[in-house]
Amino acid sequence: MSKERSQELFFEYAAGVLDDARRFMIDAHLQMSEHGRASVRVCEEVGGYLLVKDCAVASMNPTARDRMMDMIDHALHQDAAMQAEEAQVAKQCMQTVDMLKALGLSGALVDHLEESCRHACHTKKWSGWNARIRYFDVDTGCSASRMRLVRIDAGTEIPPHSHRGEEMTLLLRGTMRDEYGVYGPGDLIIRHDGEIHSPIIGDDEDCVCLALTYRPLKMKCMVRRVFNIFYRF
Amino acid sequence: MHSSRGAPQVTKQSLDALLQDVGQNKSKESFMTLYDYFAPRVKSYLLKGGLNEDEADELAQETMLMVWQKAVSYDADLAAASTWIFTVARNKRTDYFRKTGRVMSVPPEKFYDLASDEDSPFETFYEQEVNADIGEALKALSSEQIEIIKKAYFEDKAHSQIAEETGLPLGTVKSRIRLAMDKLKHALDKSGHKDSHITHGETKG
Repeated sequence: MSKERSQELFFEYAAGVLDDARRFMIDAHLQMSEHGRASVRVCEEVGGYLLVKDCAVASMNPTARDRMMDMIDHALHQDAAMQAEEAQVAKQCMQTVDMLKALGLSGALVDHLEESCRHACHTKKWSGWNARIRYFDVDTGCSASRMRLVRIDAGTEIPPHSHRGEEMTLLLRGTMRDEYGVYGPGDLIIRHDGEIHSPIIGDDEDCVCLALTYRPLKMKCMVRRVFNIFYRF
Repeated sequence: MHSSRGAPQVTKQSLDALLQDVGQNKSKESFMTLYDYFAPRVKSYLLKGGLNEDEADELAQETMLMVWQKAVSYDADLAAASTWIFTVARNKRTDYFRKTGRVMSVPPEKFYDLASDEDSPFETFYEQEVNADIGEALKALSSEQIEIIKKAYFEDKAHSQIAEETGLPLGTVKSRIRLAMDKLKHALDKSGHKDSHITHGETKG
């Protein structure tokens, strides 16, 4: 089921129909997964093929071609300015980027998290449900979902819980295991509606993951509901 | 082909070479040849996605300008020019939808029901695909599979929307797309697309 679900996600990612939050997760996963990139590439090749073979040739606005030529003449001179501007932005983000690198993140994922992390760095620290689990919210612009960057201490055992709606977790650092498998950095773990699991963080190092949920967790019994008050993710 | 400016016959190789020339040498001539070929197609793609004439014109221009600016990062070994330009156009479209507040797809909780996939007749049709070219591979798909794939790419439809429109069970839509993609992937793997096997970085559930 999960393999199939991931293929669906890759396909919808390539076709450009995923909601912002899921696209964000897949983007992040692709940063870390050669396997994922290969799957997406096939889907994108279908898009390229259809663009060439199946898109009727629409007539452009009569002035479009000349305007395009003007633009690239202009853009030739703009390139240097654009690079300078990009360098400036990059400099401003150094602090954020450093923090993300320390968490084992890089590339496009850093770009994606930039805004949220800048916020987290400068205006608030990591929040925590308790001493062992800390997080900060990542704004994906998608109100139906909740995305968090979560840090969990090595060796932490999380009580059994299920999910209403789909949960996607991208493991960025450390290891984790549950009833379904053992996971390492770059693994995208998809839990489906109603599946119960109790993750255990590996003993060797703290775990950092990006978690996307669409509805609150549902704990399995009364005792767990108390837990749920403190562990809402 | 369709260019009114007497452009030479276009092949995949020639398109790739043109884009490389733009990236490496900033060749305006090569770029305008690409423009004549792709801009009308990109516009068509955007029109199918629901944009109006003016929006599609404008966004096609922006897409091509980005092709000009980013061509230096194009690597012909990694992707065909058409694939690369498709992703630029797709990302432009996504940005545009976000800027204009157009909601992408349906609410998440409606995305996927949990009914198990029904067995698809295509399961038994899982034959070896020997054609290396993706066009050839696509020809091997059923017309139903092709239709569903086009809906997803062009009309900005999630699986569940396709199911609603076609009246097919969601499981059938999912099966058709999955098997179609598996088939394409298999065909492309045979033609040298490598799918490396690594321990981590997989999708697991």
